[in-house]
Amino acid sequence: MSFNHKWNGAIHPNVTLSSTNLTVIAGPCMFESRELGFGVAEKMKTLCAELGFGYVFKSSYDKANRTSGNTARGPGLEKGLQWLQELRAHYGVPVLTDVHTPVQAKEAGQVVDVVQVPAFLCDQRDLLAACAETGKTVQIKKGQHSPPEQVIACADYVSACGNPKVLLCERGSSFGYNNLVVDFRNVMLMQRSGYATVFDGTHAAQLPGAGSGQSSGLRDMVPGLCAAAAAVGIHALFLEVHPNPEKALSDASTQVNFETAEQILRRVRQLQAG
Amino acid sequence: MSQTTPLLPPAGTCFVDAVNSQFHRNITSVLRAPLLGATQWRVSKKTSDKMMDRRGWVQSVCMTATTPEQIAALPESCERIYIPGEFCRQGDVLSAAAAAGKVILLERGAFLAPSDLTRAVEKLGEAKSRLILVEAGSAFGYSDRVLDPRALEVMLSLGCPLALNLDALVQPAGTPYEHRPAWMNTAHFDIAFIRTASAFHVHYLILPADRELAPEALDLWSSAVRKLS
Repeated sequence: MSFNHKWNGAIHPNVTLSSTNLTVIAGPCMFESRELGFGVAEKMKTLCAELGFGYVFKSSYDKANRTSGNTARGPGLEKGLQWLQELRAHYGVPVLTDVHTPVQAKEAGQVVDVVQVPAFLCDQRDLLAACAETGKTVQIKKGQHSPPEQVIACADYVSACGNPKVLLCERGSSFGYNNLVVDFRNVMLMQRSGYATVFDGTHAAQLPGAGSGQSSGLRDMVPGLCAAAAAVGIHALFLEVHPNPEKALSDASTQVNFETAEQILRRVRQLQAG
Repeated sequence: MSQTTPLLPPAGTCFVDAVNSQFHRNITSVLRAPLLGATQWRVSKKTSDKMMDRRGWVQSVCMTATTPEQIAALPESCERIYIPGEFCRQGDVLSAAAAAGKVILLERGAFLAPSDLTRAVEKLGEAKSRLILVEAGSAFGYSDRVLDPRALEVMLSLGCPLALNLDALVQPAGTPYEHRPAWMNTAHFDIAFIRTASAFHVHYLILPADRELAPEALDLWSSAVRKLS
């Protein structure tokens, strides 16, 4: 397997992306506490190992673009990266986090295996260049407002910066106010571009800003969306997982619990086997 | 995506440092499709957007900033900070803009419901008194923006002056959707947007420096200004 003849898909000694065997990127939306992150990592690593999927832990140290200024943002850069580093060493799994400025990209790039460019910021050149310069794998989420061509052009930019290790992630497109739809044509276009393709199953179920001062969502749609993405064909599935989503400090309406995560992954396993 | 799309010229002069600008220039030259749109253009270029209010063109210096570091580096001669829609909820950017003491132009994200802009404004705290809200349309499919009168109504209700970014409506930023109908790509619709803005008593029109209004559109705005002044 080779992505654009430039990258073999390896993002960690234990995880290599492929078209025949899914990689799962999963963890709590916000790194609310060290215990939470480690608990989710342990569960998801075990589940993925049982099902034969590669596993990447994800979590955010700073939710910098919350709908409201009065909501929690996370442990911050320093503590968040420390926890990610400890978790990576303890479980032997690659870790992913999102960055919002070139300065953050440089800091995070020293710790994580995958730096993520958030959807709102997907076409910011300075940020893309800084992520490329980390030498780590770069996941770019397609902006909700962006056509598919734009995110592919962003991937080309990162690649042109000398880093071909790019993941393109579909997470839904704006469809009127407070609403997202998943256009699976985008997943197909991402595949055709030659870059590794990821589907974000939990953010795709968001209803941005539809709650009172926060995003709402349609959690019950997550399993179906993930199955559809697996059927279309993806290299990795991105899920936000929380032991008690209703109590989560961010994205409480779309994160899934362990039971749902397991149901999703078993269904995807069946689809891939079929 | 076409492999034969002609490359566009580089994205302009970076106001943070010239070395970075050269870096962008080198990278742009090897892209297989142009990545030149208002977002990149604004980020990497000292903007000289013309802002026309009811008295005529405002020629003060306005710079786009997208990180706290960029805001801290803005020169004293910069009187206005333009925050692109993609950054309208970024807490750190808004805090830095509020602390800078300059006039803030905050563009509503094309993805953001107008009522949610209330919370972005709250993040600016007392700097709201120096705030001009900017309407640049709502995402309505790929590479398409609509000017929703409801958005103007909601934004005006927030008690800040309101500007209309005309260019963002006619030609949305970024790499265009391959199947975007050609009929959308025309400044002919300036007239429709200005009529709407005038009806809602929008305070300013914003245009990039190299974009001229057609005489008919200019007359329409001038007429609206005379009626209201």
